[in-house]
Amino acid sequence: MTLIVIAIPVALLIAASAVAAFIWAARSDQFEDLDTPAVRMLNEDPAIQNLGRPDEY
Amino acid sequence: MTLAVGTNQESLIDESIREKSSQALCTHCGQAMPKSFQTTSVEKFCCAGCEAVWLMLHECGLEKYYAMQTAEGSSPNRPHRNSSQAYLDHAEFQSRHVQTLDDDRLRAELRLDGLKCGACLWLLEALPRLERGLMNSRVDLGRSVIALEWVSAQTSLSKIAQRIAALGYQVRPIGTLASRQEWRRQDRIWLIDIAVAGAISGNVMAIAFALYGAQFSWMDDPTRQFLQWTSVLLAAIAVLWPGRLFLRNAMNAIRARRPHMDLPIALALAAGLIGGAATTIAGHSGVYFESISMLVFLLLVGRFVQFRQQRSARHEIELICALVPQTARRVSPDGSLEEIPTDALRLGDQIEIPAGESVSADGLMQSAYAHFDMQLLTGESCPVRRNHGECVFAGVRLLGESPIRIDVTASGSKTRAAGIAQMVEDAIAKRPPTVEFANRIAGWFLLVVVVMAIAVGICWWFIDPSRVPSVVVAMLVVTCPCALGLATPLTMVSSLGKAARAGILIRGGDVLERIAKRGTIVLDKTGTVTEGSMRVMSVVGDCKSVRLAALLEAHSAHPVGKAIVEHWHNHKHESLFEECASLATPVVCDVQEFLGQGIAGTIDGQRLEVGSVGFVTRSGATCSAELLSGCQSSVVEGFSPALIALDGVVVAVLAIGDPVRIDAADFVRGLQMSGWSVWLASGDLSQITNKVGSALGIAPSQVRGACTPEEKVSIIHSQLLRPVVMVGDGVNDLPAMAAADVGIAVRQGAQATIAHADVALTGGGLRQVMSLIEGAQRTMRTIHINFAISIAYNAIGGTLAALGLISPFIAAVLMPLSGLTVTAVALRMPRFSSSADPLRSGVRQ
Repeated sequence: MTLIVIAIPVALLIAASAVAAFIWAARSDQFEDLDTPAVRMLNEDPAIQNLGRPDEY
Repeated sequence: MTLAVGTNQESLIDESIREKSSQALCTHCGQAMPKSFQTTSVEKFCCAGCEAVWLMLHECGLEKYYAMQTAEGSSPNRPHRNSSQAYLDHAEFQSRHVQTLDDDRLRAELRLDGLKCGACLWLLEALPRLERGLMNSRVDLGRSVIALEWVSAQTSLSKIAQRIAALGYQVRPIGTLASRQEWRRQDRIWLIDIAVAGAISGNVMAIAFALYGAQFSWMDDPTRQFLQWTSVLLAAIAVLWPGRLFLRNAMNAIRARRPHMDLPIALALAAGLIGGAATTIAGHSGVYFESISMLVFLLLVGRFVQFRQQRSARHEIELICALVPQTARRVSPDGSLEEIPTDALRLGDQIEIPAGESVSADGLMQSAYAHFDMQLLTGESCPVRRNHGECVFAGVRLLGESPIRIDVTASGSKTRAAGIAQMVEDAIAKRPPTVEFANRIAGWFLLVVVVMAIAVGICWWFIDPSRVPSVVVAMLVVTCPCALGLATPLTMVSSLGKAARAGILIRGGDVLERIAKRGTIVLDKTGTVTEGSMRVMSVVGDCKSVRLAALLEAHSAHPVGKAIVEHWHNHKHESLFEECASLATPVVCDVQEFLGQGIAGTIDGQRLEVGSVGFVTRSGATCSAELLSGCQSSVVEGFSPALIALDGVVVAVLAIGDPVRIDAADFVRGLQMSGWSVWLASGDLSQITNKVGSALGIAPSQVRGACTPEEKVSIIHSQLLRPVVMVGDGVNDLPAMAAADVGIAVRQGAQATIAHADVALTGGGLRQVMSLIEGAQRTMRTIHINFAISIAYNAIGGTLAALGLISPFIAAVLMPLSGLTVTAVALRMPRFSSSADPLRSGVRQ
């Protein structure tokens, strides 16, 4: 009994933190575009790396 | 290819290029080089645009693009030239579509056409290297959207868009900033709700297993109470947070005194939660919290999928609006032309429409006359003439060679095209929410089970109080609606997959449910039961004159001209024309096209005229009696005659028409035999529509010609025999397709049509419609069998449990059995098989 009273709330806390992590991910648009990243990661090269830093040119 | 030598017709040149394609290819776009092009360098370019892009990419070190394209098996797009994108910088456009980030950085999202593969993505995301001031560029492949961020002091959106156009992609505006942000917000809410419901139902399920276990082994009371209270708490969160959607809909239904499918669901949720809490407070065991939270989770997932479908439909509506140009050339008071977004047009502005382009606003003709292709709005296949002062509508295409001017009477959302888009939206909104068979049953089922469990519990309370918990639990476990919930989705998913393999793309399972019943089917004429393009149906008189007519008509872009050229191409190898093959191709000169009437020219010194009866006989051409009767008979058959006259003598009569598809008559007969009521509705002339109707065996009372899109919708609404199915191919059928219970798009029509249709047929054959209907009926039969199985199982199991004959443990073992039976039945049943197989060959042709 004593064990379960501690174990279940701990388990629920872990679950709650997972849900919180998901909510954070959803709010930061991680689920916005599920197709492109799969292709984009194949294009790992300097042209992409330099994006957003036009000062270099 | 003898034809190509003497004429300058563009398509024929294209053909000759293709034939020589083995010799030289453009280094950039990979297309064949024009014959005239001479170069000694290694790099060859078909045009200055390709060369510029090639140089640009090499200067910026982006030449890897070509290697990537080759690896992906595609080739670069040809650059789009002289596309002015000035409207993108207009204040009106910027206020609706451009977002201001900090320190004068701006952000905009645009629709991107021409995306093909990973190499396109790579090139477009490397754009900041090419365009100074562009800070970031992100592409969303799935939705074909590009997000751009730039510094307004260094560059402008139109410059960036021009750069993108030069690379062979085209940008178009999509929904306004506000609507896109709202969609994103809703998306997030759905995802979070589903995540919460899923996490809770998983945890409650785990606790429930422990409590089931307690029924046949020992568990002390405080532990059991603790577990139950935890479940109550979690289930309450699930019902009140993610489940608020159902509670809110149910409240609205009660307030509006209108039944809604969410009402029984909300009742079941509330009854389960309150009943469970009450037994827990009373200190008894009553565990159905896992069913409640699981139900919330599964229903939410279903709703989310539906929401995404509706949203993508709305997204595509903007494509119809996109058929109307987004920009207009306004004539300034000083006579100069200025390119502005159509939203900035004001009443009374005068705009110029370039030849061959679509009209960008509704307005009154200021030029003397012009011909328009109205197919988008009305479905009429013939060009329509408009004189000075008459109305023209946005979205119709200007034919002919000279630009016209119109005075704007309505623009943007007030145009007729925008009205059609609005009708589509209204129809989708008005369509009663699809209450699928399973959903209809599930809510009531759960309610019945909960009520019966409570009743059985009360009965057992009087018989033997100690057995109440185990009997109630066994009953709830054995009647768990898993099998019920499994039957429909499984059958639907396997059906949709089989249909897709047969070339029938179905938007959702509810479509199958609606089409499985016999009702009314409304067919569009042009492009649906007919081929959708003009053909030469028969030739009376001198067949060889067709060759001369084809040479002349090669100069015309008119549908009739194209039909004659095509007829010649298809028949020139026949023995009848053998002698012509050896003849030198004569030179055509003095070509004069009289739009809507005919074409005239000189071939080998002979005056040749091809056109309507009135046109050819206006200068007193003589016509023999035989040809005259040929003329009349083609009119009687519903075709329009085209005359060929050589030096004032009519030598041949061609019957031009849009032929009925070969399988159309069998299709209509098949439908009528199986009890469907078949209608034919067309935007084309009544005379032609009636002719086609009678050829198909449709009663004259069920044939409507000269229908506007609005009239088609009213035909749909006036049908009593439901479901109403609309089969069409054009944008003008869209409102009717949306208003019908099921909208089916035949062949690869306009993208907007495909996007809105419930079903898209890729093979083009009407037999696929038949196959769809039969498949839907078989699918529904399977679903009903599955329901019978699981309800029988639940009834027997539930009764045994209520009588106290099975323990919760045995019930937990029996539970998956019904699920397995249902799964086996769903996957075993053949659908879209027998009738779909012969069609597959049809799909490929």
